[in-house]
Amino acid sequence: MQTTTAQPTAPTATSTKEALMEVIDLHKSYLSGGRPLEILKGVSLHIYRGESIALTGASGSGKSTLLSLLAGLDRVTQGQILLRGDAMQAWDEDRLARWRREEVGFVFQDFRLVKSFTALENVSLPLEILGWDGQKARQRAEELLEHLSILPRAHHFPHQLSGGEQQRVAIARAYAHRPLLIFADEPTGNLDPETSQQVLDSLLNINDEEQTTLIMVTHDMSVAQRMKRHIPLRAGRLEEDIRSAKDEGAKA
Amino acid sequence: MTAPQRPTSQDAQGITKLAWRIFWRYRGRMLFFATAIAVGVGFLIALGNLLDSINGSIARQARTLMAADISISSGQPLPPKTQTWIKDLEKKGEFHSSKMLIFPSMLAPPKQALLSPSSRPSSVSSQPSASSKPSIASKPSASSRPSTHPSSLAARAKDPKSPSFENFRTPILVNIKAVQPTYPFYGALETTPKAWRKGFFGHHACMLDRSLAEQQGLRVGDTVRLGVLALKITALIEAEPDQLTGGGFGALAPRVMIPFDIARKTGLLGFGSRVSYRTLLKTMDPQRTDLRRIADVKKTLRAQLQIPNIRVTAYTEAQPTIRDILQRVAIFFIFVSLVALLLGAIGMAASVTTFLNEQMETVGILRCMGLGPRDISALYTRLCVGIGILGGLFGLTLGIALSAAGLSLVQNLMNLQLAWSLHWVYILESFGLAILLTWGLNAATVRSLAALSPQEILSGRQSQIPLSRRALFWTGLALFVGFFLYAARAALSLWVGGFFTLTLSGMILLCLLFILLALGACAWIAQRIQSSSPLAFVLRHGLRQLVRQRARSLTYLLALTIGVTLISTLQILQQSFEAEVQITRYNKMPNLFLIDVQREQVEGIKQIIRDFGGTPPTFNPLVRARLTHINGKKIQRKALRGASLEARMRANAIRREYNLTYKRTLNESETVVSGRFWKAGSTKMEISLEQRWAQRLGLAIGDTMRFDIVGQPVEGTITSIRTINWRSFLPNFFVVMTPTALQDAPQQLITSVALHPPSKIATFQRALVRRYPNVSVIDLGRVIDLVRGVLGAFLAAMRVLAWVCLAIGLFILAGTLGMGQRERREKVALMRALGCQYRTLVAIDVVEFVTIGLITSVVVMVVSWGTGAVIAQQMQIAFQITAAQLLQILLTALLLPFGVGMLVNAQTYRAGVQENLRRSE
Ligand SMILES: Nc1ncnc2c1ncn2[C@@H]1O[C@H](COP(=O)(O)OP(=O)(O)OP(=O)(O)O)[C@@H](O)[C@H]1O
Ligand SMILES: [Mg+2]
Repeated sequence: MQTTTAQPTAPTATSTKEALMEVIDLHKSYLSGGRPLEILKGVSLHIYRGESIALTGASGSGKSTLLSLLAGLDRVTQGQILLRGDAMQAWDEDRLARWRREEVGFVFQDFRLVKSFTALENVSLPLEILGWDGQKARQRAEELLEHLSILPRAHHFPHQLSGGEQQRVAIARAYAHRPLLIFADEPTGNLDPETSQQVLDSLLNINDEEQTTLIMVTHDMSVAQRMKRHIPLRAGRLEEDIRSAKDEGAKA
Repeated sequence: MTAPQRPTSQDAQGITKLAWRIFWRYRGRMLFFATAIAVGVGFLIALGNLLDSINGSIARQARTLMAADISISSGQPLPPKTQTWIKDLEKKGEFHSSKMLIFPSMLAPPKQALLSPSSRPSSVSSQPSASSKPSIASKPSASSRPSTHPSSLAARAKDPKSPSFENFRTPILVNIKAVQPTYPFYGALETTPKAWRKGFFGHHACMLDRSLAEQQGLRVGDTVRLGVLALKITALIEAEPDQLTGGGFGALAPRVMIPFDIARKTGLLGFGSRVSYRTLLKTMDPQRTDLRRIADVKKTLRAQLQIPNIRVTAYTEAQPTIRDILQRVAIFFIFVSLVALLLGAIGMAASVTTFLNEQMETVGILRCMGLGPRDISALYTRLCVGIGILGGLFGLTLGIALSAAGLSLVQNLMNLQLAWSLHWVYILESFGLAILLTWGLNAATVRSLAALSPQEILSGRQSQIPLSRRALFWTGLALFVGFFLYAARAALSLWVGGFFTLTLSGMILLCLLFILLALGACAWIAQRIQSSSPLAFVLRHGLRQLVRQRARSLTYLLALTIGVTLISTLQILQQSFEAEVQITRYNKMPNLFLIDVQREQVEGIKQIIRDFGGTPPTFNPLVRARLTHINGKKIQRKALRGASLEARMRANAIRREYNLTYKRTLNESETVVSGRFWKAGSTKMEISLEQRWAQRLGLAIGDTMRFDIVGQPVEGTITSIRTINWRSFLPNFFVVMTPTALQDAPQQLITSVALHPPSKIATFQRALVRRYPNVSVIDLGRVIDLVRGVLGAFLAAMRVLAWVCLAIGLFILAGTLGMGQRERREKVALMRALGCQYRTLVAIDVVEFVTIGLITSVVVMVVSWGTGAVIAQQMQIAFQITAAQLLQILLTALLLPFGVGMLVNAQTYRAGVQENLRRSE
């Protein structure tokens, strides 16, 4: 029922050089004990379609904060985020929601599954929100669970699942609707190396095949190295932009 | 239980500190829990207090109906033993006593009064005839003149002069009451002139009913003859406090009062006269609240006076109308106070349970840090007790405030003198109840919480504190028993307590059953809506949300349905009661009794009544009869010696003379409760008895009774038992017979007339007496005013209580509905993160709240109907429910969850994703 006519589709179609998202001097502070505590102190960043970016940094450096700002889950204190040149802070909550529904997948650091929904219901939720009928959403969700090898757990509730299983449900939910952007906050933190590789493979696969943009927080350097870009965050600022060899040409 | 017990417990102080920290951390919610219980407790205290005060003031009014606390009436003087006992009571400073004699007699008016009754207006002053009269009445006046000096009774007793008979006209039947100076103990004797005591006691004096005086053309200062004495009229009686119970009504003759000391000298108390000897007792307790002592004394007297013909009556039983109202209203009030308590308890228990569920994680962490199950149990028990203490404190404050407000309100509404004091019992009750409830209702949950292993909690494997069936059973049972004891204490009757306990627990079970069914239906429907339309999405998710959080939904659906049911039942009952006793109806009620009507006068009297705009009356025959046989056996006084108390009581009632009537059909105030009333043309000898009366005599359908009517035996079989609505003020009789049995017996007719406004009464009476001097008129206006006053008081109190209860109930339910918000916040945040529209989110919640509303309204309508009907039966009122009431219930139940839900969650919908996620932590 929502149309996408507002989307400036032209730039993406014409040039990959044009940034999908442009972050300009981003600041975020929280009030703590009455005094503002600055977490992000001027972050600037360009994100291009089809990129995979690893975001690293010490605990408390502001990775999750940055990710939720990018996904429009929170409001910036100062600075700008432009989506295809459109300033996001001007959008109201419903505009943001529509964008997320259509183009964004998000994996929370602590999974955040709907407690009263089964694994299957959690995965089909974004599809249902998009207006799919219940049956079709179910089928798609089952495929994804199968792919992540947790189909036998489809009818379990979150509290009946292990941490890794919950994490995989959260990942399935994030890309169920084939989003343009996936934000993932340590999506493999709870998985054994083998499953971790498997999940990473499938995320990168989608990234490759469907030109999905992947922005992922991780502490695992081996994971970071498999991404096209690696951005370390320190004390609220981006350090340097490390680009892997295969992405040299993409530099603006 | 399965968890390892730590050998040494964390030291108690540490636990208390921790409890305090949790209390402080969640102080807002603790405040709500305490308030929920405080509201129940406070309301209960205020209500108990208010009830005491109202009862006290009603009692005061009831006392005036008897002019005493206890009345002993007997066919002969009291035995010396009892007289001594009563003297002792007086000496001990417990009771005052006063003696009284009541007997029918003939009073002869002076001749000159007869000449022109209608030409002598009743005004005392400046009448030309007033100057002419003394000359005719001079003899008796002269004879009694010495009595105006403060001479002794003995001196007057020596005066042998009798009034000369030729100066007096034909005597008329009157009802004499001889009183002592202490009369009346309660209420006031209203007379013209006002100071009736002046020249009354210690003189040959009398006072006449104003109607009688008007009818006979008598005035203050006239002399009348009673027995062998000539008595000077010192005042006219306008209103007599104990008019109905003081023997006036039964004898159905106008009142004449004389000083107690001259009663013997009239010569009317000889052998064979029908004298009722009365002793009135009044408690010396200045507060007059010691009802128990009064009841004790009554009991002792009853036990002592196991003699036929003696009746001991306490004021609470004095008047059928008042007794009736007291009983019903007491039941209503008990119900209200139980409702208040239940509402508070439900609100508190539901919300504390939610809180404890949310505490699971904290408990898991504390357990990991080394606290044992016992420590956890101690921790949360302390927390509950803390809530209880705060609740008790709030409850007491609220109770005092409510009492003060309620008292002043009721005082203004009812024009009553109410007083109240902060009794230590209230303080104790307030804290005790609050702590007991917060602790008792949550004990099972706390125990289960403590028994969980940390692993179970932290793995997230238990999403809800599991309650064992056994714990639930014991909590339920304890609640049931506690409730029963409380209700029984409040009602002062095990039976009534049991009745309420069963009704209310039945109601709760019924609610539970309906809710489970409804939730099942919702789950089924949610499964079936799979289409891709936005509406289907919203419906599916709304219903799923309701069904999936089963424990929470069950808790607040139960709280909501029970709460709203109780409130609606209360409203329905209050309105049923109000409809039944409609005060406005009293404006059309009979306010006059006409007595001693002869059959041939009926048409003429009807005409006069019509002329005055009164309601067309029905005349009832009255036949005086003495009961002689029951089931063919002669009733003998001797045979009763040594028999059981019950047999004597029975005899006591039996050996009296009764007024019987006969009729073809029942009047509107009579209802047959067993057997069948005869068909209009019945020629059999049948009897219909009033229920209480039949019970007192131990008579049932099928028994036969034989009466002696002027030497003629009349026997009949009891074929029906009736109840009588005494508030109708229609002429009613305990014993009714078929016309066949009685129509030939000597009889008079009586009737009641509704003549409004009462200002017409005086002229009506004069018009009536001018044509029918034999007809006596008794003015019921006073009694009706009293009943109206009492009823008005109760209705006002009931209305106020029902509304306060409604307001409180809604407040608690609103609070309960706000629970479980944490989960809703998280869900809203997630749905938003997944891109759900604000509108859709709200719509999903609307579906959930409206479904809750629908379930609630259906359950409430059904269950409150049932509960209302059952309690109405107990209150003996006609249960009625109107379409408007149903609509009101429907709207309340529908809109309450919806409105509150939207209100409570408005902030959640507005907040951003991160904010909601953070708040749901
Ligand atoms: N709502 C808030 N109020 C105050 N401070 C906050 C709030 N949210 C986050 N912070 C602070 O901001 C800082 C950054 O938090 P963030 O969650 O972004 O860290 P992170 O880099 O994701 O760390 P981790 O690797 O541990 O997940 C932290 O110091 C945190 O305490
Ligand atoms: Mg983080």
